[in-house]
Amino acid sequence: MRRLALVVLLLAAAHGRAQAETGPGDQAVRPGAPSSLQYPLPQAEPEFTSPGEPFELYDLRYGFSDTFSTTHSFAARVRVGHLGLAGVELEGERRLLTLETHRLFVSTGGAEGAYDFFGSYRAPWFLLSGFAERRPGRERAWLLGPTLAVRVARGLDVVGRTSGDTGERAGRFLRAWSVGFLWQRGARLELAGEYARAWEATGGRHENARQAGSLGVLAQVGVAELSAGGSIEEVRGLFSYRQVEGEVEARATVGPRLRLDGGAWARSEDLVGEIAQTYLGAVTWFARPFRLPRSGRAAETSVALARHAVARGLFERRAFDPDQIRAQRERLSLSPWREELSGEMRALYEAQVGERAVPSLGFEIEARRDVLSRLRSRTLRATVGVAWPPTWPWLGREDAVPFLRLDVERERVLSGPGYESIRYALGLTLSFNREMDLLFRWSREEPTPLDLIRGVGERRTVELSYVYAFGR
Amino acid sequence: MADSIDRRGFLDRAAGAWIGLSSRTVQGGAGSTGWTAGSTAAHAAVDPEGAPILPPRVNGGINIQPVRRLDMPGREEGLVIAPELVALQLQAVYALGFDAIRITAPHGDRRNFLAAVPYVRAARALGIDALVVLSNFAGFTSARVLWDAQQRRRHLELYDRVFTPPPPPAGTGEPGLARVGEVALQILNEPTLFFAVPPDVYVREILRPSYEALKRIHPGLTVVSAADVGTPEGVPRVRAMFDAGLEDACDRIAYHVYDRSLIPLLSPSVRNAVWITESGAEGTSRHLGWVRETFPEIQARIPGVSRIFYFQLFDTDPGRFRLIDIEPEGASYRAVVESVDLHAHFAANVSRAAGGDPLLPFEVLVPDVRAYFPTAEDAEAYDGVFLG
Repeated sequence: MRRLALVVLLLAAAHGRAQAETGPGDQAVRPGAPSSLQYPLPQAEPEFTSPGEPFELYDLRYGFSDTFSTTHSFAARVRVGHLGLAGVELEGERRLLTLETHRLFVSTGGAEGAYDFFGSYRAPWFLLSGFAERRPGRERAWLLGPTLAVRVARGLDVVGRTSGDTGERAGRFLRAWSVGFLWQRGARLELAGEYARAWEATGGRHENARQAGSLGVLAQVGVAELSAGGSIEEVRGLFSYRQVEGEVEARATVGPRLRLDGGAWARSEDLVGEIAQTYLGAVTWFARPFRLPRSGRAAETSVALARHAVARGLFERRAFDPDQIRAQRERLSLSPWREELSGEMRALYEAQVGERAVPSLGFEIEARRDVLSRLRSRTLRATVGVAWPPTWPWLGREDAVPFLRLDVERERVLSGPGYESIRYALGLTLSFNREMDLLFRWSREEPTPLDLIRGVGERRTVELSYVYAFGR
Repeated sequence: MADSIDRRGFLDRAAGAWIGLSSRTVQGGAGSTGWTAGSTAAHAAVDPEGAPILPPRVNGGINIQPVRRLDMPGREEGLVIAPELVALQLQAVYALGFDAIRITAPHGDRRNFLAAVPYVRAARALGIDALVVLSNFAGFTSARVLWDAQQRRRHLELYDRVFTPPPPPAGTGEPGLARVGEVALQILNEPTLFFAVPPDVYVREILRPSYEALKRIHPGLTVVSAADVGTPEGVPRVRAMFDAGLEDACDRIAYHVYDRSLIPLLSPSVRNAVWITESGAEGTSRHLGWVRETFPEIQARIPGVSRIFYFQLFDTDPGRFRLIDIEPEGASYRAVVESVDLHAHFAANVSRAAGGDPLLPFEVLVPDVRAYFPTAEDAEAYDGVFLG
């Protein structure tokens, strides 16, 4: 109850701050600017470089999930002046603390005898990070993994990783190493590759030695975003075999408000043939013009922001994913160059708001087949979105923002001797504004044969969560 | 693996199935189920000078089904096991020189569980080993009770109590029958196909705990792992079973081989004794070639193989895997050889190994197969576990 009271208090605080900073009269100040948009709940324009007085709430999440038992989760993160961001996350038995500055990130977490630590340091031309995980149980072994990314040329990072295990069962300390690269050219081309070796302890009497090479490319070509990747993995052990994996994916805008998605992924083995496949297709209709993440002004601005940050001695990559953009903006807002970069940070935010996706109607189909588990599934998904201000889905509105979104899913899984299990899921997302959502999820899942064997019956899950994310 | 699923449904369809014509017949009747004289090489040329001998066990193992009746009444009352059917199948196993049978005794299926009893006991009385498969023809009961720590031990004790006590040797006083057959237990059949249990889950959550429980109940008992499907599709799953610790969770590792291209894929994995618990070819015309060419290839390329069980003696699907058919004849039944060439091959192997000595007829050793039928104690033991 105390936890719930705290959550309610914080929710009220966040809501009160939004209300206090933005009155109805503050809206429609600048046509086309984020502040000109109307949300169901008024939202203040975020001040990314504001120091907080002395704290500024950046994240607040609370949720519960109930299947056979109930799990509560809570997370909060605050900005402490210009010093950094401090966060705490609780989920079931797990606890996590985080601290972040523009160069440093550290976290420590634990649950039921297992502990983990993570740290990273962003120097001007390299990024050093590492994790340490202590497994529970009598062995008390540690899994350690340092990573070093070095900027060798503009847009080109070389990345080396390794991991070791102090456990006796592992047999040797060094368990894996890899070397790879990431090359970003503008917003429209990205290339990544890696060569990796690993020595995998099995539950049997043998060890599997793996070596793998992978290459992936992502390109924005006209109205389409295309990605393709492939890998070859060779395994030496009790059985020796080679697996080849490939995937292609395409997203394209057809006209201003229609997006098509398609993709295929397959893995095959040298002597056995295809062992797993996934196919996906989707069509989405938007309430306002839609842009792919690497094709618009937001992408151009993100590239410029990253370039200017790098010029100031910060190790930053070009970010196109909303979460990555937000995290980058938070780091830059803590740096000594925050005022110099604040204009571009704001421009990026405004571009993101200007290119916001407001889906009205979407359909998706996904088919999977896996030889190892002998599972075949087909999933159908449908999305219905109601924009704010409400309007008919076929009528576009330039000032539309996401408001209500209903996601429906039906998955049919065939396993074993043709046994069929159906899963239904329903999700309702209520966006009060750009920073604040209320989410409800419900699902009903018929037991699979493995569930029946394990004595597990039908699963009914109810989830409810509240999310506040400053500057999203 | 539609074939495998079809095989599983055999018992459900067994009753009343139409049985096709065949080229040679063997007669059988209640309590007297002798092969028709001259119908097989095993019964040819009795040397009046020599003492009759047991058919030499030269043809490896064979899969049989716990068939108890071929008619199917609308509603079945009580337990009906037609002794002629048991005798016909066992006579074929005996006469054709098989050294082991593999038979399923399904959990939660009282009639078929008890129907497996006379096959196992009579075979063992004849000196033939028996591999009893703890599995189901329908449903997931076997996997369920073997996964559940609360139920596992009681169910394994039931199998130990019913199937492992050795019967008295058949035909006491006959030469060569001092030994009764051994028994081994196999934990499920093709678990991913029939139970949708992933290979690592099978090893960690079903096989290993069952193995450990059985070793506490009966330390000397041989425990055999389940095999995966005998086609290349099964290789990744076999691999996953090894990765999950298969070698330390059983006494024998089982493979099924229905595709020759599988053989080189399995060969490097052997570090333990391997049993091929099913191998055969679909299509009667392919049977002989499969046994003559593939069985030696398996032996040569999978060095750890110590047993191969041919799939299979009898089912109700004509022209596919079965060696013989069984037809009603009056109030009794008769066996009809369907896979003529393979049958002759097995019989010739026996005859050659016998060196012209006369063979002891089955009915001399087993004058009445009902002596091996399940007892009231067997039924009580079953009911005590399943009905509580």
